Amino acid sequence: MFDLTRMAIMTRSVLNHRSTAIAVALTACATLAIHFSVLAVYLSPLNPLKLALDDEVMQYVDPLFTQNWHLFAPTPVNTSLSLLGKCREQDFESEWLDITHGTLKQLRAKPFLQSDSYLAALQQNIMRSYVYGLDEPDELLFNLCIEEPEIEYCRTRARASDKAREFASAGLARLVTNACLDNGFPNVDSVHIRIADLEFPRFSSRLLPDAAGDARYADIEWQPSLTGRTR
Amino acid sequence: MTMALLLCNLGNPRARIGAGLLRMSLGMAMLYEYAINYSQRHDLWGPDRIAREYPVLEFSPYSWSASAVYFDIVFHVGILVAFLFVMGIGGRITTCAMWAMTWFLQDLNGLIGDGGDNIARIVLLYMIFADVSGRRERSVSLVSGLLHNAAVLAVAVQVSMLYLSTGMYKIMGEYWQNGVALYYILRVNSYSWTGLGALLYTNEYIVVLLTYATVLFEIAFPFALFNRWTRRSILVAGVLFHLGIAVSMGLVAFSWMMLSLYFVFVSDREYERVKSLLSVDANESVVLYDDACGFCGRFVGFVKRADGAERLRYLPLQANEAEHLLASRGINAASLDSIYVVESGGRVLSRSSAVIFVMRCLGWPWCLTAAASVFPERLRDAAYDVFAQNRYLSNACSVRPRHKGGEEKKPCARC
Repeated sequence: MFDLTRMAIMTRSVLNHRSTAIAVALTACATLAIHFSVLAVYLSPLNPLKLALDDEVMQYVDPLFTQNWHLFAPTPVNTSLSLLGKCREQDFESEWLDITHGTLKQLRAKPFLQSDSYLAALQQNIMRSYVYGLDEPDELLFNLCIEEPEIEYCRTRARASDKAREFASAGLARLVTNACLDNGFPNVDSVHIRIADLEFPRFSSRLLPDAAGDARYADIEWQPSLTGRTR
Repeated sequence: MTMALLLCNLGNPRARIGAGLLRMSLGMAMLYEYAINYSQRHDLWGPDRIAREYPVLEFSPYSWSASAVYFDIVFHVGILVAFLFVMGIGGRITTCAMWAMTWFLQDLNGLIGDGGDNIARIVLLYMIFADVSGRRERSVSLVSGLLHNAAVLAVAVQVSMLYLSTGMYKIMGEYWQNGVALYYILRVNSYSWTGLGALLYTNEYIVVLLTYATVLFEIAFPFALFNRWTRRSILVAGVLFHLGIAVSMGLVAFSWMMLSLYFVFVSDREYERVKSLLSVDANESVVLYDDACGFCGRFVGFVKRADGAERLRYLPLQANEAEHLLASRGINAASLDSIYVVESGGRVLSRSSAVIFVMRCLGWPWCLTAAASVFPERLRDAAYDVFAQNRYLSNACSVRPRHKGGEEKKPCARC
């Protein structure tokens, strides 16, 4: 609904610029229709249309409209990752530092300020990237690449996954080195990285503590420290 | 003529107030992100950032130099742009700059952004075509109106696709089908630090109910949003959904960004109705209260302090003037069973309606209690009576001598 005065002004405007208005209206409608049709294909689960148009769709979507809405779907994250690190300074070697625990403790202390929320997200995503490689939300493709890793799509994904692990490894070294610097090791020369992947009790045992679950560890042995900070 | 009317309709800008609120809220969310990460900006986004191996846009101003000082300059320009955006200064140019600076910043570190950052970047691009001034009275050309409506529609469709997409993926997952997905999410260390998730995930009924409700909400959203009968219900469900995420999982910025988008789903008429509900012509209105009741006295004391404009007058029910004022309207003041407000127009409000009127007079944030008006008056008054009866038990009611004569004691009024 709109008021009569505005309607009168607009009607006069339409009558004066009728062809321009029609052109703009049609262009806007067509643009929206095409844009969201492409996005619909891009965001849909794996289907024949998506497979057929994948290259064209990605060319349009990347980088302006890239989206990822399946952090919790189809399978939600169901393990807790923790970053641990040891610092070596000349001949001295530290105990294990629980870096993730420290960050989450900071978050708990200032829940609404959330000054460490991005750092916590960065830690989690780098660890997940290192442990699990690239995220593959489509179960069909995931299983396909396990059965037939030589398919071009799977080889490309595998290369991208390796690259992601390589990048993550450097990121982890920086995270641990920064933690060493923050914990009184200003001259840290090498770091030992460990990712603890805790599979906490499943739903049927939900009342048991986290420690009752199984933990797996991924270790990156001693490597030179790496930081962007000024020492 | 039919075509002209159709074009008029299409070009009549909708949700202009909502678009303005979206601008302010999204801009403030971005300022919040700049602020909370300010001390860690070099670790997160600087040239020597933690995740520096990942490729970035070559044309981004952040990648033009590896100098930390240069990074700081661009970063502060981003903050300035966000501030101008919130204030509504610079119009479309600022919106354009806001979109670009947000994109460039997010591009520096793709590992830290969540869904909220993602949708904000996309929606900011649509907002370039919208009138985000928030001023409904501002005249716009037909073409601008058409573009504005297209942008608002784009936001609505984008958000709908977001929910539908994630809902469809969830349906495919075993944990979601079994109704236990929420347990796993709330127990992961990075989402359980608030400690509140544990209160939910130990109860199997809550876990199953909320898991299925999440999927149902996400799948239903696009269909319910574009239906006039279900739109408000799905928006209320969405607000509760995101507030729940903010509180239980600690994802404040994500929920803030998502809820910002909801502003454009409310029509200008609805905003104006809310505005008229919250504002009230209180001049010369009189609040009549029981002066013998301690709680009532403290309530009126609070109202006097909060009513900066001093628009209300206050009279004890025990005063002769109050007795006459009510008697002339057929009300017996001696019953002392309610607080009253006599409006300047002569209308008399009692019980919960009177309390709501008084709170509306106090402005923000007290006027929000006007939301209680959505409940039927009989229900509100029943709650008022229950509260008043419990007040007797709490001994908050101190009986003092009456003004007139001072010898007679009366029961406390329910204020």
